[in-house]
Amino acid sequence: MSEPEQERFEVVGAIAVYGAPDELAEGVLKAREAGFARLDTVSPYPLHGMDRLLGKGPSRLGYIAAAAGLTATIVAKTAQWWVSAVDYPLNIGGNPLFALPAFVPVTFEVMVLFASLTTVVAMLAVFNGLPRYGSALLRSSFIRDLTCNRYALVVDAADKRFGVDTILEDLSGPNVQAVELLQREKPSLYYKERILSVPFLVLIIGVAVFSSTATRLAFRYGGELPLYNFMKHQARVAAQAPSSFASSAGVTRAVEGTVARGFLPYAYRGRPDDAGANMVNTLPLTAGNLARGRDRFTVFCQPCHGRLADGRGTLTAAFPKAPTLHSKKVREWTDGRIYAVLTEGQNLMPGWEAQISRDDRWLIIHYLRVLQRSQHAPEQDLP
Amino acid sequence: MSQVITDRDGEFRHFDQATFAQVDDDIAAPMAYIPGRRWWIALACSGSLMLLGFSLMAYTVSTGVGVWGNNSPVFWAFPIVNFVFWIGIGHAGTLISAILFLFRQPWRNAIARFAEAMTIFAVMTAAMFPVIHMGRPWLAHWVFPYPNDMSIWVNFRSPLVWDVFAISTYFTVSLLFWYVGLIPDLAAMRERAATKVHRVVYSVLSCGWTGLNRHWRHYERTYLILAGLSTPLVVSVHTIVSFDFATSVIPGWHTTILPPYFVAGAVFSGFAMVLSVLIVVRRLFHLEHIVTMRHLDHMNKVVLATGLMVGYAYCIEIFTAWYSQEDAEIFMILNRITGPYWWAFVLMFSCNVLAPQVHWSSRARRSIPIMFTVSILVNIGMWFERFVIIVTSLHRDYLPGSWGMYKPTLVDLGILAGSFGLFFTLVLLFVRSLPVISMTEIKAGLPGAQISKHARVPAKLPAVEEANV
Repeated sequence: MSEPEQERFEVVGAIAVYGAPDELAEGVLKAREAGFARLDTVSPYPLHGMDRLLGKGPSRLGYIAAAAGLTATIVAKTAQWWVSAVDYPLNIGGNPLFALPAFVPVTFEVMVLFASLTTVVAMLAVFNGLPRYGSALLRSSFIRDLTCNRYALVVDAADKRFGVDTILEDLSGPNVQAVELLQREKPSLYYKERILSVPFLVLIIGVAVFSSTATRLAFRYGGELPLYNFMKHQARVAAQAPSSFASSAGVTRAVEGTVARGFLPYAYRGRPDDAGANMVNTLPLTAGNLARGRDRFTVFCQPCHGRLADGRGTLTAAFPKAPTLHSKKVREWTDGRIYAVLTEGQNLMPGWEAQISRDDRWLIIHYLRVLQRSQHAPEQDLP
Repeated sequence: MSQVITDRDGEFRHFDQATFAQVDDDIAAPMAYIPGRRWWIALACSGSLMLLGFSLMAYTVSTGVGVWGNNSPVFWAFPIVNFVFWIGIGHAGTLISAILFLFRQPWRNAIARFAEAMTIFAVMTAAMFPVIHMGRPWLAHWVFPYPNDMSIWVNFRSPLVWDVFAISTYFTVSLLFWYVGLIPDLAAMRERAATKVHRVVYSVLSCGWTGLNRHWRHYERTYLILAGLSTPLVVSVHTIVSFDFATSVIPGWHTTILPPYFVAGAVFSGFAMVLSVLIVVRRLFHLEHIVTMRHLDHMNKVVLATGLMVGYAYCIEIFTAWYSQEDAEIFMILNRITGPYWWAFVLMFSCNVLAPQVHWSSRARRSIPIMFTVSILVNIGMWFERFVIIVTSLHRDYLPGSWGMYKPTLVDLGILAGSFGLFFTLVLLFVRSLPVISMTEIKAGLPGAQISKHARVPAKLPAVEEANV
């Protein structure tokens, strides 16, 4: 080993390689008898009985698992109680809110999950100090054999009996296949040269600057990208909010003179005589139409004008008496003239334009003619 | 290819260091060379099926679940059938790795890793189905209780919520168990790595494992604890899946036998699936001397035993319907056997109960063609068992006015095929990237691998301190 190499590395221990578990067991006892105390073994698989040879008791991981399981049980039960009985009580068929048996499955699953995760993390990180990629064993020339078919005794350099010059001889024996010093890069050098090196720091800072800038720019220019289409997030303008589309508001006014589809506006407003002269009842006189007219008449006209349109309505007490519709004047009016009255109203009667549709008004007129004829039947109508 | 001396069953008889190296070489062989044509063809087939399944899922999600056959009254159709089927497949892995470990059955070592991997892949496949069955998979996180701006919580008294916890816990714990078992093997693979990329990947994954006795001590205890936790877990998972049905009031679902019936069925179908795949893998990768006839024989015995349990459950359901003298129950069971889906019942009964009976004969248990056929039949039968439970119970319940027939669409069938594609793609990738058999456990179990001479440890020796290398 060259001079600078030696300065980079430090001896942290030594190994003696064996070819069979029994030989290793013998070696362990011999080393312990020789006064070595900082010992361990390496094997490709767990060797049963090695703990006893090394004077070690069983692992205490079980306590960790039990504590984790107990914690998780309490937390899960409490959380379910709080959610179901306190924060969000849902009454389902009158069943109890704090339903202990129903909480068992989730409690059990949470217990298993938490206990398993805790045990594995504790085993790796706390008890075994893994992951650890800087172990001197990983640099040993025998590490491949030690994960396959060979066994080794390991002595730490911190051991009182350990001497760099004598250790290889101390570990040798008839069954020992090889001995080797374990070396590791000095941590101080490692950090100074690798982690604090200028290129590495520049790389880290560069990545940080780049990723934060890129994220910022993506949010700035990438626009809003909603992940989900929630009903409350809609591309719409509130009815009274200002809108860039129309000068007024979200809901724009109709253009002057707009008419509803299928409806022409009433053309003779305020001119009932013109309406009488020009408007004609075009709806055919059929039994169905008369029935509809009778129905509407009963709803809208009968309360005041009476069942026979003779002015004897049911609303008499607090209401001014409505005129009969059998007067000569009304009988001689054209359908259009009556339509004008129905539409715009007359004297105390309001216009019915808003309540009775155009066609229904004409059908009421048809029915009114029937009533008129029934009360003023000419001679030839009589049987 | 193997110079290892084996007996009639293919068991090892002679052991030395060369044997250990040979075990490692044989198990690591599939990772050492570029896969041959057969593997690529298999991957192309399963990969295409997988892509077909994924595209049909995308079609479903973008169009709506109306593209499936699910409709009133059968709302739980293929997606739930497939979900229960795949979850069941997973159970064999945990049974082998945890329960047989606790029972100190060393023959499990040869198949545990493979079965555990299949558990993980099966649970992954299964978990897709409830998610797409929701119709709005992007809101799948709503099944978890988390503080949200809607100020609502999940209902902890609902079996569907229990299911969420059971499946996610099962997946996580199976993955942990599998990974913990893999760590020493990953360390061995790290040392065998041919390229720098392999070395870095295996190195990172193995956490720098060196095999110190101190590490093994905690490692073995962890493995024991995980086995102890997984054993009730595996029973709980299919029990909770069966609660989805058993807590309802549908005749055919509302029975207390469902939990044990489901667990037995899960182990049954899982063993059948492990057998089907393992028979192919051990032959393709020349692992006949590690996964020997004795292992397959034991697995066939488990198939027979669990098949009998499932058969018992089928019969007791019929008995209970009669014994209850409940009109709805009696009608349900008659409709199940003689109704329009009678063929599904016949298929289920003959594949699950009759077919495994050949395993009473040890010649059948040791015949590859027979056991392979039986395992495939059991897989088919177990899929139809779930179909029978779900569809025949739902399609004719209390109100004859709301009866209906269920017919899957091509999309349903395509997604089912896609689930097999996903599962086998994962299996194919696994057999080429990780040791399919635990080298560590196999080597530790070979005669001569452990300390045989138990020398007395003198009491006066100084206490051993931690060696920190």
